[in-house]
Amino acid sequence: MAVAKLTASAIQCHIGTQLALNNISLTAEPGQLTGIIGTNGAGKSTLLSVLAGVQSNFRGHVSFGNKQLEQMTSNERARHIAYLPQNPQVHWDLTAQQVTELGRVPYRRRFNWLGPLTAADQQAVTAAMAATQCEDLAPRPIQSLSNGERMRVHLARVLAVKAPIILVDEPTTGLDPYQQIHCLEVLRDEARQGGTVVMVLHDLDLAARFCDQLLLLHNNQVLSHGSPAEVLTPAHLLTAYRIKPPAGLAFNGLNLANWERQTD
Amino acid sequence: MHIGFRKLLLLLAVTTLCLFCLSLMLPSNILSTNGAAPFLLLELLNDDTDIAQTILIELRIPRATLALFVGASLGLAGAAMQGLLRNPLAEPGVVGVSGSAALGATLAFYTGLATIAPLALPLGGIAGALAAVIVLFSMAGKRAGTTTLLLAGIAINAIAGALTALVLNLSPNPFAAMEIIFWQMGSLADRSLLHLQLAGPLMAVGWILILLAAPATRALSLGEVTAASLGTNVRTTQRQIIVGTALCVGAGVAVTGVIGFVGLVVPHLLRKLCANDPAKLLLASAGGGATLLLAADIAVRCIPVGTELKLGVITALLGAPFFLYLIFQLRTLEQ
Amino acid sequence: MGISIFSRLGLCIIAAVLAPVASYGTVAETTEKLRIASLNLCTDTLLLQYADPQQVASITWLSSDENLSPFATYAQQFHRNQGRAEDILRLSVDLVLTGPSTSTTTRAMLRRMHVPTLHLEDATSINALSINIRRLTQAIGQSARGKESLLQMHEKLTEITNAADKTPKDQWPYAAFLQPNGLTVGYGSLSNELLNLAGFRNSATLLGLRTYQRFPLESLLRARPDLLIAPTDQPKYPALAHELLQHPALSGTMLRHQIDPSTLICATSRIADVAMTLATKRQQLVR
Repeated sequence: MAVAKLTASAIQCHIGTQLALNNISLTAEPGQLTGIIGTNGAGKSTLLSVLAGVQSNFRGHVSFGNKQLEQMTSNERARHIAYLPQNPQVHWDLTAQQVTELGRVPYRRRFNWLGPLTAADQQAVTAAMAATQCEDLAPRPIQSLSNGERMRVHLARVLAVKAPIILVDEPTTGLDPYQQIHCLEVLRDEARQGGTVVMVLHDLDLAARFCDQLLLLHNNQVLSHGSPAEVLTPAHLLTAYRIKPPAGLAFNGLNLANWERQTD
Repeated sequence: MHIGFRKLLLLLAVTTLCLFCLSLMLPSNILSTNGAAPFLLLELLNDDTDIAQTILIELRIPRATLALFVGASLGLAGAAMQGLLRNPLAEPGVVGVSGSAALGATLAFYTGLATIAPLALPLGGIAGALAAVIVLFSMAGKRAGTTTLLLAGIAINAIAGALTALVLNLSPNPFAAMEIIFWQMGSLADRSLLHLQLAGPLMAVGWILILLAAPATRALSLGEVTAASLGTNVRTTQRQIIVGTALCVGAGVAVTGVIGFVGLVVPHLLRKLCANDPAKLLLASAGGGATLLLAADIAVRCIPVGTELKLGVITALLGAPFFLYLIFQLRTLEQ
Repeated sequence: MGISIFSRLGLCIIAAVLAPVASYGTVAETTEKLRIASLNLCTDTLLLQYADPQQVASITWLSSDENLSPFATYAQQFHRNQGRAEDILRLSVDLVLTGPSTSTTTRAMLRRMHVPTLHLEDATSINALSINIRRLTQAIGQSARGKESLLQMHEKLTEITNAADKTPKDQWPYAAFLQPNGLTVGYGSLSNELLNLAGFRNSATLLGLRTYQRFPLESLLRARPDLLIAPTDQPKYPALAHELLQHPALSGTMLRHQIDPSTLICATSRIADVAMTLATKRQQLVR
């Protein structure tokens, strides 16, 4: 896997007439799990889509290693970045195996779409399904799987791309705690093997536990970035989420169940 | 029953070929043979005048070839629209693309434009079909569900149907008003080599465009955003399918009238055999459509009714109940 | 001696007075020049042929179409109706002519308004045509013209019959009519009778086709009529019905005789001319 640092600088993005991202900069190192957190509407998903190259209406620069995003062909970009948007859909009744195989689309030869997968493709698919532990799900139609199983298959698809950069938007939505942890462990393993993983997360506990660096977005801007301890301070959380710790409790890691909403 | 894709294609090809040959052999109406040898082959063998040859070349070959071409086009366009709109109910007849093509063709024909420039006939059909697909796509392309799609189809069909009737009524030629039956119910009777020359090449271009977009339909199964991230040029794919569908349906309707439901029934029947792969389904639907239409045309000629039975009637008799069944199936799925 | 001479004289006088009154009631022949409106193309045609211009109150819009009426240009000057009773309400008409295409509602309306009508069915034989012409001309006060026209027609037809060669019927050449939409004529139609009169056999009857049935192109090719009778083309505005007549399959060896459709759509005394032309064509063929 090629090693690539993901850098974004001075990203400005408008959705319609709304300003979604205001001067955002970000650096994600290989081997690290970078998390993007913030309230709804802060611009997290938009930022991820800009990084993935599927959002064209932005100003600023995104680059992998020393290559700029704009200079890459769409096929090059597809081999460098694997992207999983929020609430991934599958429109036809494909099996888990078929969905995973779609991860190899960037590698298929143009006019060879009727032929079988190459050995390299086969191997990537098998490895991806092994990493996410969904080999036994392979022949089953994806629409018949549970939420957790489905997410594993989507992750397998992402891993099958064998891209150095993995961008995932809220992979833990709707999953129970076991599945959430499993999902993030898979992504962490990818990062430890040299990949650059950037995730949008909703759950601050999980973000604190799994991410090596965090980016906290507020009002379409970067409020804070750094290690979880640096970012998840009461001051930041008050500004961004309008929640405060219960009185008298020393801040010793997060246990949000006790936290109260700021009402004044 | 699981057969491989290669075997499926082979089966469809062989069936199409057999039906094509059968179509060449059968008379235009089983009742009209009056005891004479109904099989052309025998006639060709003891032919001393050129009659049998004329019949073969000027009547039978155009009819069978058009059945094959138009059937393939309708099957292909149906599967393509379903891939584009990601909805198994999308079909040129149901969503108004065929109706609009008929409007374009009648405008070109009854205003006399096609008399001056024969190519205006299929081009008019294509223009009508293109307008409909663009409207559909802008209304129901992004995230709209089945309801929006079908409602849009109802509206387009209503508008196109009313305007077509208007064009025919306003024509000073007294025969025009009765010809709405041809345009709405479709027919391959007495088509000539000229019709084949007019429509055939345009349909072929449509096939090429759609098949170019075929691999991209696989990635589109995951949605437009994911497809884009996998390197698919979503805009280009959409344009290829839109224009390709318009070419296929527009040129076909211009010479045969509206023949509905082929693009609905064929992809649905073949989807499981293609393992739900939308790209393979395109190819299979072309073959399936050709088979279906050839079979329907043979049936029309063999059913002993005195007057000519229109092709669109047969496809509607089979396809409309099927359509209803599909809607029920989808409703239970959505619930 | 029963009735006295005075009674006999009285009876004679009474008979003499009553006689013309009686004939007026039964034959409906009139010497008055009535104002007439016609709601049907074929009755239009007859009306235009036999009536004085001032007698014509209204004719249908179809009569101005030169593909449908032999008097198209002449018809331009008259009031046009759409075949409905309300179109002629405001005109002062003494008689209304109706035909098969006049709807039953229109005819019922005319009855309710107590307007005298004369209904003529389309003539399916020369005999029926003669009856139609006689009835119409008598009703509009032009019986002299009618009689003369019929006389000329029958003269021409007799001429054709006399000039015919004596070959038996089973050696006659074949002819077929091909009209828009591929429709043909069969038994029991005027055109069929003309064909036979001119010395042709009708290919359509060979296949048992009736009038207004489609003659399938394949069967037509196989039947190989010696003469194909088709309407002159091009209509000003296109329709699919006319495309069939241009089908490449027909461009082969069959001899085509173009006929002006307006001469046959509605039967008039001019059918005799049509028959003469066909007879001449036959002579050319047989030679």
